Amino acid sequence: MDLLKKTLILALIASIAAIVVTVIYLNTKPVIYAHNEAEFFRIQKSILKGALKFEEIIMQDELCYMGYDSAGRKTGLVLPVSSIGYGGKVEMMIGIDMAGIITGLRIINQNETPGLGSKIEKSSFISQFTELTEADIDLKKENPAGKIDAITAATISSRTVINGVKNGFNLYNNCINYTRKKEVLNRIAAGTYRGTGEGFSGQIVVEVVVAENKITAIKIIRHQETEQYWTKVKSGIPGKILKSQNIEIDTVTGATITSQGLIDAIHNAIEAGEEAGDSPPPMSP
Amino acid sequence: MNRFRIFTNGLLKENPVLVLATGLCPLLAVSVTAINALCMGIATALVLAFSSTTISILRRLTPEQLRLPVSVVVISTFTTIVDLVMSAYFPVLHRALGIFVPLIAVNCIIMNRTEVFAYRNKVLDSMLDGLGMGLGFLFIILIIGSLREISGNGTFFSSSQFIGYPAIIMVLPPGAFIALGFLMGLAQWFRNRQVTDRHE
Repeated sequence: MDLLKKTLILALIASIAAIVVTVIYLNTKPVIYAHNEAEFFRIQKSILKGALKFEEIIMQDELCYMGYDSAGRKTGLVLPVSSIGYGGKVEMMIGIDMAGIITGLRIINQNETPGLGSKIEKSSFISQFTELTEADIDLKKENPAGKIDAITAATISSRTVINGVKNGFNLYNNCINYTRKKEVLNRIAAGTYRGTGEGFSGQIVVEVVVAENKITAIKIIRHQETEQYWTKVKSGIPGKILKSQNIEIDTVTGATITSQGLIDAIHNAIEAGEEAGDSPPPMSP
Repeated sequence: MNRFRIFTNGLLKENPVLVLATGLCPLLAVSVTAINALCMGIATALVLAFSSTTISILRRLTPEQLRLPVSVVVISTFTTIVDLVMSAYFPVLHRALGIFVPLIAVNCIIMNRTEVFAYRNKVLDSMLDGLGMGLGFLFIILIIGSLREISGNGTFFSSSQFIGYPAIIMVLPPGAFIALGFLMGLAQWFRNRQVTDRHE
């Protein structure tokens, strides 16, 4: 059998194999995806009881999930966090309700010593965390205010979970602040609000017009920034805010300080609007 | 060799683990619990049976030079199929077995049997050999998995714990070697007895 024939045979066999695998892959892909989604949803529900729907909240480099009950009210947050344990990263999910009390904890992935550190997965350990607040999260033997019993002969792994839960509370606070800022517009009465921010060369003053819980216009009253940076910032930021109705946005690359000055000024105006939210509007447009 | 002999060969006389001493790595790593061992055994047996059959079908097409590449392609195709089907329909077990499902592709039993048997024999014979060897492997991994789970964890097929203070070493790597060593010793003792019986 000459070389060409051998090559063709091998190519043929490999092609058939590739086709078969592709067919099976395409058929199992939706099943695998659906299962992962269902599994994830099941875990979320078991951690935050009473929540029926979850909304993904993506911040700059962090992620959390807001849980809503059947009436659309917020029940709490589900927070994926991790910490470094004895055998590597320990991944967990924590549920914390709107009052800052832990509703559930689940270890998703761990590589601790089997039979010893791996006991952190057992409900006898993680059930200790339910109903606790941030101040209670410490090992009893390391902090008199702590309420958690470590696992015998697995202190390092126990401490890892403590660290993870503490990370969870940090993430919780970040998420709450973030969503609060995003929802601020719902609490502002219609009107024009002025705000100031510190730019690179001086103050930036803006006027933000709010009507029907939306930002309808952003006017620049005064600035002292360098022209080349200002044009970059002016063409990017107000437009983005008007489009997304979200005042939490990123600075423009290459003009960070000017960008932050403008963003701060807009935040400042919105804060003025918040304060005026319960009282009659300060000025008419 | 008649067909039945070919099949039973893999179960006892030339059991891949106890006699040929191949396929030990996944055996030792996965046999921590009975259910994991059972699934690994079934997955390996399926890949072995299908691979042997397919390679036997292709044997006239594959000259000496192409045997290794064709083996690799065929065995990894079946391994991938088993991997995908497992992760779609048995996701919990698939996660428990982890990386050892894809590693079935380089399981020595499969590479060995396809080279030694499947390339030189008819399709039906190869299929029976694959099945026999696969079941022989399944048999042993299931025994060792059960042994390790009962003595090292106090449970059986994830039942509730019925041994208060299990010997944890049995679910750690040394326990795997200990269990396998005992089983191999037992098998050897049986074989020696058979020889002396026949001499009497």
